[in-house]
Amino acid sequence: MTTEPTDVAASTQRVSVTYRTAGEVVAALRDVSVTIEPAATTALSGPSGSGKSTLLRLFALFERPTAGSIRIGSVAVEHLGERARRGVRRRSIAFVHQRPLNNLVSDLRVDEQLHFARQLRGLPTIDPTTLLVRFGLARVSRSWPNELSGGEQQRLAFAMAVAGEPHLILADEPTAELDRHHALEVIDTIGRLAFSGVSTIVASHDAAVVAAATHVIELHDGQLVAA
Amino acid sequence: MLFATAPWRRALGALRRQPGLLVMTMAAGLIVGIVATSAMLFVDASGSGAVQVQWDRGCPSNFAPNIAWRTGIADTTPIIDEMATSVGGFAPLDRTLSSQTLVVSNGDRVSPVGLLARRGFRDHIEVVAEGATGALWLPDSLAERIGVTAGSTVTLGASASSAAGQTAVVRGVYRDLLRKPFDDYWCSVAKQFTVPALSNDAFPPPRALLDPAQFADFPIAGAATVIQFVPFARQPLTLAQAGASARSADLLAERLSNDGMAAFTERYGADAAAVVQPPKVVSGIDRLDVRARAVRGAVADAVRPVALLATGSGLALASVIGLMWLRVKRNDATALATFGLSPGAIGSKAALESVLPMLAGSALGAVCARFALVVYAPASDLEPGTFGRAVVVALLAAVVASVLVGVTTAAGGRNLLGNVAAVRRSRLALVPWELIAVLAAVYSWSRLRSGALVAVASSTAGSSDVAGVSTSALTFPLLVFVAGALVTRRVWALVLGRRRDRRFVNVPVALAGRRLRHQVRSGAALVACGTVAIAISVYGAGLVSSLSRTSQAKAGLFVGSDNSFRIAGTVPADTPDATQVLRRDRATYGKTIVDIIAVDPQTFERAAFWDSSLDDRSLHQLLGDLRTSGGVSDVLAVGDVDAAGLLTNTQGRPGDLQIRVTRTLTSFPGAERSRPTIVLSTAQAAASGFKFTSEAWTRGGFQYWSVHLAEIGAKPVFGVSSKNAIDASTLLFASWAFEFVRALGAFIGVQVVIALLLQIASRQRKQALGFGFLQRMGLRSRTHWRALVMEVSAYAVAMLAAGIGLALSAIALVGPHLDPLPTSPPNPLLVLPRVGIAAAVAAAAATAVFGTLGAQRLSRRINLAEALRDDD
Repeated sequence: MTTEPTDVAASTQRVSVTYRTAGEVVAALRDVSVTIEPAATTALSGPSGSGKSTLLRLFALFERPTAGSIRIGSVAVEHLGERARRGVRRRSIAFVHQRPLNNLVSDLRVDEQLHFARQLRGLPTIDPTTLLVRFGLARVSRSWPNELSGGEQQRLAFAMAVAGEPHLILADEPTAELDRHHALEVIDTIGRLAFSGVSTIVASHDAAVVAAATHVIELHDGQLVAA
Repeated sequence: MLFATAPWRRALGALRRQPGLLVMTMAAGLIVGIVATSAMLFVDASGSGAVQVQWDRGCPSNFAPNIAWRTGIADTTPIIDEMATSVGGFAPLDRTLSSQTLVVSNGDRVSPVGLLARRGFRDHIEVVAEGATGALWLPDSLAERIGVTAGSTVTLGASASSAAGQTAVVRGVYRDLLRKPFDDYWCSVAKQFTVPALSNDAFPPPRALLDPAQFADFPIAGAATVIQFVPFARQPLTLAQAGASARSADLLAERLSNDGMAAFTERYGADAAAVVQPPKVVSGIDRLDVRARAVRGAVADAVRPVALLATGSGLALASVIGLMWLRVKRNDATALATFGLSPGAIGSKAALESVLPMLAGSALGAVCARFALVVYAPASDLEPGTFGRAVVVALLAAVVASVLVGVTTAAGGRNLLGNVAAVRRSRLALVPWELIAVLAAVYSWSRLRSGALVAVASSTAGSSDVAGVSTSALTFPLLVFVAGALVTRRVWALVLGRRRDRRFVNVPVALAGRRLRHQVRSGAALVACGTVAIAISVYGAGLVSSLSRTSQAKAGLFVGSDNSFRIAGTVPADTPDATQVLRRDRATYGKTIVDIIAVDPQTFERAAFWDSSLDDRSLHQLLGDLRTSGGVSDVLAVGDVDAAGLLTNTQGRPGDLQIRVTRTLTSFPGAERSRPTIVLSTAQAAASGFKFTSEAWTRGGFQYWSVHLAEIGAKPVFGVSSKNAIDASTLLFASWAFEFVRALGAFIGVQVVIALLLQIASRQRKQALGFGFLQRMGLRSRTHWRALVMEVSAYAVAMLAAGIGLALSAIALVGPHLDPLPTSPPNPLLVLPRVGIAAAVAAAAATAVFGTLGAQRLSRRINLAEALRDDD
């Protein structure tokens, strides 16, 4: 199954997501239809509980919509089995969690993380130096993840995402746990991703992140406000 | 792709950064290694134990080839030694010459005596006095009786009335051998000194010892009886060695049978050989070998199901490591799942990372199980190769455990990236699956039959049958434990799973309660595992103690005391630890044939066996009932008889007594189950006119009383000791299976401790984080520790209450059916395993206190900021 990018990197058609909790039904997304442009940085913005993370998780194939359809590239993924969804995620998607260490394998050094990201996607081994320099990690190439600062960890997460040559990079509040200095480093990194032809979707409250994006999708109370 | 992380290469390194996980994985491996190998090691050691127990309880000469070869004066020692050497595995021939009964006199002081010549006797006697010349060594009791000492001259005669005699000088005086048990040297000629238990033989005369070369100097002794055997060079310690010894004995017998006469002819000529019969060789080693194999088979049949269950339990515990791995390495697991790795692949990584510490722990467990044999097994000697096989089994079990770790990790990691709120609890969780185990236990109970739990050994001479424990005696309680544990788990989950008002009572209680409710499922599983472990431990301890007490009671009641001697005289009333008992085997009471035992109420308690469980009243109170008033004797009865009536002699012989039964007992010392027994006082017996036989019941060593009763004029004819009355080895073998269960219980007890520690360790980080926050809110360290103790204590109390309750229930259900000798009273006596219970409580308490202290100490060291950054 191929997810080669067409004229859109990803899209949703009238997707809704509802959760059943004890005693109530929560509508996290309601009839949301969006299109993600290729080679662009798209910011998902909105207040807490607006559905940003849920929409991001739908694109990441972590969850299934209650209704509606989703496409990653040209592939409709809402009815795929778990195995196929994992295959799509492995080949075409990179996801950067809010917490830096959730993106890294603790028993791999920095350069090994990059090798690992490529090997997982069946890509040939490359010299990681270029990537490490590009993301400002050359100095710590033989360090363990827990020896890095929060900013370095998050930049490494983006480096791994890029190393795997995905079609779509998803980032959930990538600057939320960083100080301003490190956050700016990450924002700079995200801004440069578009130039490498990768579509990036970033869910964030951070105005600086939103400002760095080429497209903005605004959600409120699970509904699309602006795109 | 998973292998890009090379988890097998980095396993130790990866876990080195997680010392808690590394230690707990090794500990789980240790338990897996122990439980997986303990059964095979124990079964093998049981074979060795059966060999050694039989050897120790018998006499080495009983198992060696004993050679009966009547050759007159011709000495066959060189022939036998040559053939034994050619076969191999034997020491030189041991040959004893014994004379008929003679008379030794010193003036008018006369005593019967027998000569006994044996090489090396000087090394096995305690010398009282020694002279420079002479040949005879007399026992001190004999020397005192006829008034001689070393250097004295005595006269030996064929009989007291015989005028012919031979003088001899007493070389020395030795301590009478009957004063203490025979050693391995003297036991081979024990019949020359005393009668064996249960024998009707008369006591032999005291023995004057001399060197075999001097025996010919005493022609008055006449033809000697030759007792000769070829000792084994080494005591067989294992079944393989016993088998080899048996083959050597067979080969020697075959050689002597085929070539012995030819060698004799060659040495002494055809004329001498013409009047000599071929040698006959008898050895008990064959039976020892066969019986030991039967013991091993019986033990193996009994312990295998238990061992399988224990191994399953150990593997289940080990699989929990998967959940711990997932908690400790949640960041890694999340990252891998995000990359698109399947739960199976993540489980494989966990399995590969845990396999090395698991293998190391398991191998160590096999070593521990090997050395633990010294403590609990019947023997610690194993067959060659057994330990090697055990290590292989341990390693295979470790691999299986690692696979289970992977499976658990995979199962626990299925929803790493999903939304928790969207996960709904499976309806399958509402199905009462534990009913299946309950029904299985009920079905197993329905198959139990009275007296069927112990296969009684055949009493046929030469039989190699042994008492074995029915598998039901072990599988039924195990099913009860599993069912009970599952029910406990359900109750735990229901009680803690209920929503309740969050009323704040006090900080430690509220904190502990919240934590218990937060992890109700894993806590319930922990409680279930611990319940089974504690139940097995207490059950094993209870049944071993009960079986031991029952065996002692059966032997004690059968004999009446430690020893019972048929006597022709009387026992003085002031003899300590002894009483005289009168017996009559058959009398008529109503329409019933009964036995009569008459006891002296003043002295009976000194010597008679009694166990408080035999009757509600004490022996003293029962004996107080033996009174006569108004011509009617108040008596005790054992068995079903009329309340009052006339006790008469059988077949119209003289003797009758009007009696009234004041109390009916289920058992009484000396009473058998075959017929009811009436217990009288000796005064009542004297008034009855019946004829009785007299017995002396004594407490202490059998050999001592053999001599002492003769000295005090009781005239012992023959005797029996409780030690030999019932074949103790029969009961012993049956108890081995429970010994294994008891030991296994201890191993599993360690498992519970590890499980509790696992629970503490797996939550260490979260708990430390919680403590960090609570400390900032003003919570004192001691208060937090109290909450931890309460939390762990809650698990421990639930496990202990359920486990001990289940064990005692199983003992109450199974114990009464576990009668190794149903024909012999009393019924099985049950023992509350106080030590086992105390050990379980102590272990749980120590774990709760010290485990939480350790956790609290680690919590204080945590850097909250770092922990918050690293944790999800």
